[in-house]
Amino acid sequence: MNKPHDLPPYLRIDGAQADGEQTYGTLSYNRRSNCWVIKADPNVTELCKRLFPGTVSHRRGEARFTAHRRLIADMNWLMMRYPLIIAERDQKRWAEALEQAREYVRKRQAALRTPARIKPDQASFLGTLTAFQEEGLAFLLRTDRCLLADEMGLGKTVQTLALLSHLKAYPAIVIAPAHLISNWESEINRFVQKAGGEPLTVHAIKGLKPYTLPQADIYLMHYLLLRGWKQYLADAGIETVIFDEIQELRHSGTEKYSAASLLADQGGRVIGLSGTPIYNRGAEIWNVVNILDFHFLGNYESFTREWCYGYGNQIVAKPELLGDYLRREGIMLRRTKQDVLYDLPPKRRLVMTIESNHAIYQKLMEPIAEKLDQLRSDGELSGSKRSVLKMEIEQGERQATGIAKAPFVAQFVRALLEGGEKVLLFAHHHQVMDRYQKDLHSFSPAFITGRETQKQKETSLERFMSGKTDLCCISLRSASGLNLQQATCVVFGELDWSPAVHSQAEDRAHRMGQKDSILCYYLVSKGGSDQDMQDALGLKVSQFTALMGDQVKSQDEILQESQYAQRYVEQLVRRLLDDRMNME
Amino acid sequence: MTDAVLDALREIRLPYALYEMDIHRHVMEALQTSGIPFLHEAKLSKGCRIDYLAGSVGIEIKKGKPNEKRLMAQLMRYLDSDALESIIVVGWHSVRIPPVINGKRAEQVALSQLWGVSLP
Repeated sequence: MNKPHDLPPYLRIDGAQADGEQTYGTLSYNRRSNCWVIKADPNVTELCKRLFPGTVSHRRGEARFTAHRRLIADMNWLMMRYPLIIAERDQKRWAEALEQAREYVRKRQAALRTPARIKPDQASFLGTLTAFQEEGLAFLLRTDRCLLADEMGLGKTVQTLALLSHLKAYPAIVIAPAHLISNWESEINRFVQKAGGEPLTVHAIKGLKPYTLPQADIYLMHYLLLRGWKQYLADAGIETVIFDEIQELRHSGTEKYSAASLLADQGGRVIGLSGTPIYNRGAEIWNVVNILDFHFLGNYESFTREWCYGYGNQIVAKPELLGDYLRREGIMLRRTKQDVLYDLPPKRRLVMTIESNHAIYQKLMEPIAEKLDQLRSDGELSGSKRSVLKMEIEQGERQATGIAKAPFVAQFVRALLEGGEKVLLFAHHHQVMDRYQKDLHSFSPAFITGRETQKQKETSLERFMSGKTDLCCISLRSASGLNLQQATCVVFGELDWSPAVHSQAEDRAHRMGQKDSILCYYLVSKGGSDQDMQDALGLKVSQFTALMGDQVKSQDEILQESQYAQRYVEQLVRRLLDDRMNME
Repeated sequence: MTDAVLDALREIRLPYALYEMDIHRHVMEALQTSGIPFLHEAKLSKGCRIDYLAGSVGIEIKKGKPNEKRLMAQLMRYLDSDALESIIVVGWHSVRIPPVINGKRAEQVALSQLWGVSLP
């Protein structure tokens, strides 16, 4: 029997010109724009532009391919049909690029043969992995560029540290949100060491201005610093790049995104971590995947044309197919708690309509009404001014909704606290937080709202986790990555526009190690912005669920969950009322 | 009967309604799956047809966000008919309607909201 080839046919032979063969044009490398340029008969360049939508150049008879191993393979395939003369000065570069593309494919083929579960290297990894985490480690080893999208609380950090200890591909860099940097530092010290038992050297990069980096095994940096270090890091010889909470890169067109993309280009191994890689529309996944593996989903325009409802549209038409494709190609792995943690107590949700102070709402809406009138009557407003006005109106209404229901939210939370619950209270606006602080000050709440210093945040965390307070008020978007398993109830005093933010918030409490079931209350009012926000959230849940392949809950399950949460509140209120009456 | 129809409609998980006919298809499937007999385009009076009539429950489909005044006028016209004891407005978005119109029960099912506010 013939030995199977380790390469697909389009990479087995060099697509460049052979002696005496007809050629159709030339291939050369453009240093300034880091791309390969085909100058050929128009029928060839036209074909390039049709077949490879990522091809740039509006010039007739010219097609430019970004120098990337995925596109090198495409070009080689093209040249098997239309041989090109490679410019003499670029022949060595082409040969090297082609070899890199081959090496990449060889590694991928070999990776498919790795075992389904791998135990971490005991000499350098100080923890133990559960069976599903060992599968996660095998997945991370199998592919150089991938997204570990396990639901929050399943130990993505520990699986990544097991990978680092296994590969020892240092220096590595972890890019994470600012509030998670110290957590990474302590987790590295806890789980990874050098084979000889020495601790790894870790350096947390500070400031926007680059300086000579001290030698370290692992560098830590938060996303907001990326833009300052854009050029420096791209040449720093980083072997492994880890983007924690990679949903931070779900929007392109920012300096942060561009710096991340340069860094990812030069890193040998690039891993994205996130339980919620998209926050809103399905098309955000393109930006995330493009950081990990350039043009894996084609260019953005062709992606929206093929996968969404047309050019520039962001709603993925068949998200379940896209999710299947990402999993099948081995670029994404996702497990949910339901899949792997059979004994984790359940999380129960209830969307509850509560009262809201209509007079306060109306008063707060007065200045907003003026803005609405301005928007309606002033036809000469520029596009950007209209956008700003619309944003202010949206923010204003949302804040008015939050403030108008704040006293009732505080009342609800008070009942939970008096009933002995440990509560995480989420909101968005500082003004709403201020109301909670005023109404609930007797419970000495801890705050993590974006107004505190890093040290104050850590103190807040410690106060809640050590039981010094039973209430922690947290800004909706400050929650990712925090471990607050002490909580028994999660209350949303305001809604966010993204269901993933809600999920992130719920999962601060609902994690491995949680002993009791978690009750999550979404307190919405009939008036204001809450109804519209719920409409928008629904669409986003449907996109996410299908794309990530999560199981959709039936109406029966939803009903059971909400009935349980509802019953619990009713019992609690009854008990507290009885207690008060007995005291009187 | 209204509650049974509501339960059936709340089972719908429509990923995204690009056209009104998508909603129609899912509504019909939901009623059929729950074994609820219904009439499509049922005539209530002269020039007054409701999208679906399941027993004495009327179902009106709206794809976008309808004008509230016009919707109310339409619902009142439908509920004038003796054939209806209640009405359910089914749409992708939520609509603001009072719980009782013309002394009869009025409900709404916002299909987007059936997906919930958080990831499963």
